[in-house]
Amino acid sequence: MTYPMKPYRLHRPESVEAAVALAAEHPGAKYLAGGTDLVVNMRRRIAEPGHAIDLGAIAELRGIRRAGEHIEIGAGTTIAEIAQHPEVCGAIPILAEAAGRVAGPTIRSMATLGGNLVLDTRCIYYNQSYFWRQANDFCLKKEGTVCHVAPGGSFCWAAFSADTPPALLVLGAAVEIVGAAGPRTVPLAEFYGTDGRWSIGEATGGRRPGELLLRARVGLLSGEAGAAEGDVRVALFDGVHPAEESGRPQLLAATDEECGYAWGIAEGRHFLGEALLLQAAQVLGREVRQQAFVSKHVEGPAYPLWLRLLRHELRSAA
Amino acid sequence: MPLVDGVDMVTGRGKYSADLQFPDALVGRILRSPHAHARIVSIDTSEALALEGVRAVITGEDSGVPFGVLPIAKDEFALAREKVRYKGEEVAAVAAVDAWTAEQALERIRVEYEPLPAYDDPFEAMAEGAEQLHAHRERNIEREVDHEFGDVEAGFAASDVVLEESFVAPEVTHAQMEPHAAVAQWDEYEQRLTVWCSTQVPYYVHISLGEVMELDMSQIRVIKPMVGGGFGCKTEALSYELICGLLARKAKGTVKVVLSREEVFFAHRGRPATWTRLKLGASSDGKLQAVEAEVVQKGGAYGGYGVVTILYAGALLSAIYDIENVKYRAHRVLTNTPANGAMRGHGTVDVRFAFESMLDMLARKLGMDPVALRQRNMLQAPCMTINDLLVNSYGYPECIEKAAAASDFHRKAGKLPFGKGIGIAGSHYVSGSSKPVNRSNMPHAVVSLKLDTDGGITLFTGAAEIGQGSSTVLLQIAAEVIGCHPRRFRVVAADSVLTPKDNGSYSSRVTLYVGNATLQAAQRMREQLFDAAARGLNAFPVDVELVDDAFRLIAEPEKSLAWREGVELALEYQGTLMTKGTYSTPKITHGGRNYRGAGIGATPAFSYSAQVVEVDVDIHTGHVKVHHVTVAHDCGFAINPLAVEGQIEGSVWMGMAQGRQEETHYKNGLPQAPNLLDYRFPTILESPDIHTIIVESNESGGPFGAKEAGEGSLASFLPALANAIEDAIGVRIRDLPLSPENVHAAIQQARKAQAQAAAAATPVPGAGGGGGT
Repeated sequence: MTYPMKPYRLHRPESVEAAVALAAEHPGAKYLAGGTDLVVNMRRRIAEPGHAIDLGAIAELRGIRRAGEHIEIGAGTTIAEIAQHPEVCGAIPILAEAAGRVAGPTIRSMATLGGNLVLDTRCIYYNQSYFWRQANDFCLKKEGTVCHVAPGGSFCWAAFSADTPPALLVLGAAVEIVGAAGPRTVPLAEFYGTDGRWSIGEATGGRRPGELLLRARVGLLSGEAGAAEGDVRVALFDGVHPAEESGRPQLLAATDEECGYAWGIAEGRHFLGEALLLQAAQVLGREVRQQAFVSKHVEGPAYPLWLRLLRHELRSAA
Repeated sequence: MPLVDGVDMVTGRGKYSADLQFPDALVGRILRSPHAHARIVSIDTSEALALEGVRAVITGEDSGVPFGVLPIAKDEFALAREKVRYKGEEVAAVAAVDAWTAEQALERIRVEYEPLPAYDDPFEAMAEGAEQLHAHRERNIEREVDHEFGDVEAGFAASDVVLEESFVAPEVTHAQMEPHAAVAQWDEYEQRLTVWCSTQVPYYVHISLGEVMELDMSQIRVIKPMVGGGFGCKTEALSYELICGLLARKAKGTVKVVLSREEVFFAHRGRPATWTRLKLGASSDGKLQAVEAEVVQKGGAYGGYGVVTILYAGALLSAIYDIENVKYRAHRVLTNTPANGAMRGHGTVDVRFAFESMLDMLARKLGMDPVALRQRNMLQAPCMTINDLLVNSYGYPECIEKAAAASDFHRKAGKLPFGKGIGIAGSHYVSGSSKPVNRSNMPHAVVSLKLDTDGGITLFTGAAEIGQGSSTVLLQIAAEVIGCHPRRFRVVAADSVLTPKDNGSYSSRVTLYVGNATLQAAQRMREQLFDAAARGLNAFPVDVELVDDAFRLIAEPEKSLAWREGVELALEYQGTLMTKGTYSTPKITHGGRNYRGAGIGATPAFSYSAQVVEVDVDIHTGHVKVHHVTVAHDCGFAINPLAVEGQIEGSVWMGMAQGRQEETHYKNGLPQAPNLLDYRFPTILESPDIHTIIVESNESGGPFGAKEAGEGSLASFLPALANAIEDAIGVRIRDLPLSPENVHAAIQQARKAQAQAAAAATPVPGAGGGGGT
C-alpha cells in the first residue's frame, strides 16, 4: 500500500476520560487502536480524520476478566489474545474460534476486539483508492450519490465482514460504551444497523459520534445446553465464514432479526421441527441469494457454500 | 543446491527496488486518466508547480518519442499525448519532497477531456464504425493472422469424426509479490542517468529510456536489484520506469516511484481474455487429421507483446502432436482496458486448454482411452513440424506414460464414484525464442568470468535473476565445468555498467541461452587454469584433474597443487584472468519458412509436460477440491532438481489459480478487484499434494542437456482439471474459471438439457403439436 496519507494530528491520551474529551473537542476525530482497518482506509482516503486518538496508552481498555456469570473483554484486547485466552477457550470457545479465524496471525496480533466490533462495512465500490472511486463517480457511502450495487436506491449495501460479532451476537453479548454524555450499555444486537453506512455513524444503528467502546460483556454458557449451542454456533460460524477461495467472509445476519433466522436454524435441531426450520432456511436463503446477487463477481461462491450449510443443517435436523 | 540468494529472500535481507534508500530522493507520483477513452483537450500544471515542495511536473509534452517492446508496435508514450485509452492511463507525473505534497500537486493539475466511445468487449471494438483507439489500427485490430499449413479441408474430409467447440478464458493477471518500483538518479553535471528498477529485462528498459529521454544509451546505467517475481509483467519497459527517469532529469535529482497494487493492475500486461473456436478431425483409430482454430484475444489499449501473443497461440498448436493440417485464424483486438502482454506460458495457455479439453471429448466420441489417443499422435522427433519448428528432444511420450502410471490413471479414470474424477492433459513450451525481439546479429547471450588473485571467480551476466534461480543455475554450470567449489563464485547480474548485455528473463530462455554462454566461458577458463596447473605439475592438461579444489595428476594423485597455486600460475605474466562465452541460436531453429510471423514459436528446444489432476466435485455447490496432482515435466536435464521442482510446482499453482478462480473483470472500464484481497488465487490452504516427476530427454542443444522448466507445466493443469471434472460428474465445462459459480451453473444447465431431452423423448398424451412459448 503506497498511497500517501493526508496529514493528521495524533493524540495519545492516557485515560478514557481524556480520550472522550479529545473526541468531543475534535468532531470527526477517529479512535485508533490496532489500525488494521482504519489505517488502510486512511490510505485509501475513505477515512480522512484530521485527528486520530491513539488508544494504546490506556491500560484500562485491555484485558479479559471473569465477572460473576460474565466475561468482560476490554475493547483494546488483541484478537490474538482472545483466540488464545484460557478463560475464553474454556467458557466461550465459540468466541475463541471466531477470533482465531480473523485474517492472519500478523493482523490478529495488531487488531483489537473494539476495532473488529466497529469495523467499517465493505463494498467493492467503496474499498478502493481515491482514484478508482473518482473514476467510478464515487458512491453513495462516500462523496457520491449513486449506489453502484443497486443504482436508483438510497440504501447502502456495504457489507459487514467482521468475524467476532456473529459469535458475540449469538452469545447475547452487550457492549459498554462511554461518550461525553456518560456511559451506557447496549445489547450488541442493537448496536448494528442494516444500512451499510451505520459503521461511519450515519443512517441506522446504535453508534453515536465520539463515543468510545470500552468492553464487551459476554454471558457464560453452562452445562449440556452450552455444549449443544456450542456445536450449532460452530455450524453457524462456518456459514459466516465461507472458507477457502470463496471470497470475503460475510455476516449476513447483520441485525437481531436476521440473526434470529440463523439462530432459528441452529436451534431448530432441538425444538423447532422441520417445517419451521425449512421456513427459516428459506428466509436465510433469500438473504443469501440477495447478497450473492449484489456481489456476484467478488463472492459468488459464497452462495452455494451457504446453501450447502443449510442443507447440512436440514439433514441433521431430519 | 539451494538458491544462492535464498537466504536474502526469506530473511528480508535482500534489497528490492522499493527498499533502496536515498536521503535526497523525491517522491514520484502519477496522475491517471479517469476516462476509458477521451481526447485530451488541455492540461494545466501551473497550480501544481506553484505548490511548495513540488520539484517537477511532467506531461506528454515532455517526451514525444513512442516506445514499445516490439519494433513494429511502438504505440505508447511515457505519458499520454492527445488521447487517453484506458482508465488508469498515465497522464502527468509529479516529483515532490514527500508523498502527500505530490498527491496534492496531482489534484492541482487541471485536465480537460473530451470523452469518446469506449470498448471493453473486443467484438464491439472491431465492429464496423467503432471509434478507433489508434489511428493506424483500423477496426481496432492489432493483428490479424491467417495461417494454413497442409490442407485442412482434405484433412477433415479424411476424418471419421469431426468435432467443433468454443471455449472462453477470461483475462488474468500475474499477481507477482513485488509491485513495480524504480529509482532514477540524474547527474546534471555529467548528464547521466542511473535507474534501479524491478524488471525482467534491464536491456529493454535501457533501450526505451534512451529512446524516450533522447539520450545516448552510454549516458544511462540500468541496475536491477532483487526482483520479487515477474511472470511476464516486467518483460517490457513500462511507463512508470520512463516517467521516473523523466522526472529525475526534470527535477535534477533522485526520484523514486513505487506503484501501489492497484497501479500494478493498470500497468497490467496480463494474459488476455481469449475466445477459441476449435475444430478437430480424427480418423477412427484416433489419428488427428486436421485442426482449425479461430482465436480472438482482447488486447487492451496498447500493442505491447500482443502480436507475439496472438502468433504464439497459433504456432503452438504444433510441436506437441503430429498434425499435418493446421489452420489458424486470429484477431488481436485493441480495447479500452489496461494493456495485456506476456504471462507465464505466453500465448499458449488458453488455446491449450481448449485443445486438450477437446482431445478428451474426442476420446469419448471415439470410445478411446484419453491416454491412448494422445499416444496415438506422438511426433517422431527429431523433426520439423508443419509450420517449420524444430522439435529436437521430445520427452512427451515419457511424460504421458509416467504421469499416467504414477497417478494410477487407468485404474481410476471412469471408475471412480460419482463426484470423484481424474483427468489428464499435456502441454509444451519454448526454451527461449530463437529470434530476439530486437532483430540483431549479436549473440543472444554473453557471459564473462573473472578470476583474480583472491582465488574467487566472478560471473558477470546480464541475465535477470527474478526469483526463479537464474544466478544459481549459471553459477552451478560454471562450477561444474571448471570443477572448483561453488563457494568460490560470486554472481554479478544485470548492471549495464558491469555486465554484458542480455535480453533478459522471459520465454524461459536463461538456462539454455545464458547457460550455454556460461558453459563456454567456463570451458575457456578451465582450459587456462588446467594449462597452468599442468605446467606446474610438469604434465599435460589432459592428465590433470581438479578434486576438492586441488589440481592433481590423475595417475599420481599425490602430485598435486593447491587451488591457490594453480591460480597463481594461471595469472603469471597476464594478471587477472578473464574469459567470455557467447551463445547464438542455431539457424535450423529459426523457423525458416517464409511466412509472416514465422519467427514466433521457433526455439532451440521444447519442454513437455503431462499432468494428472484428481478432484472431488460437490454437485450441490459446484465446489471443486483438487486433492492430488501428478505432473511429469521434460526439462531435458535438471541442473538443479530442487529449483526445477519449485518451478514445476509454481506452474501447477499458477495453472490452478487460473483454472479455478482468477478473473480480471472490468466494469465501467475499471478492474473490479485491483487488490490481492479481492483478486482471488489459491493460498497454501488450497494446495493439493503435488507429485513432481522430472523427465530428462537430454536436449543436445542445451547445457548438460537442459531446457525449459519454468512455464511448460502451467497450461496442462487447466484442461486436466476440466477433464477431471467431466470424469467426476459428466459435465463438460468450456468456460474458465472452473469456479464453484461456473461449475454450479454448468451443472444446472446440464440438468435442464437432460430434462428437456427426457421431455422430448416422452410422447405427451393428447399433445396436438405446436404450443411452445
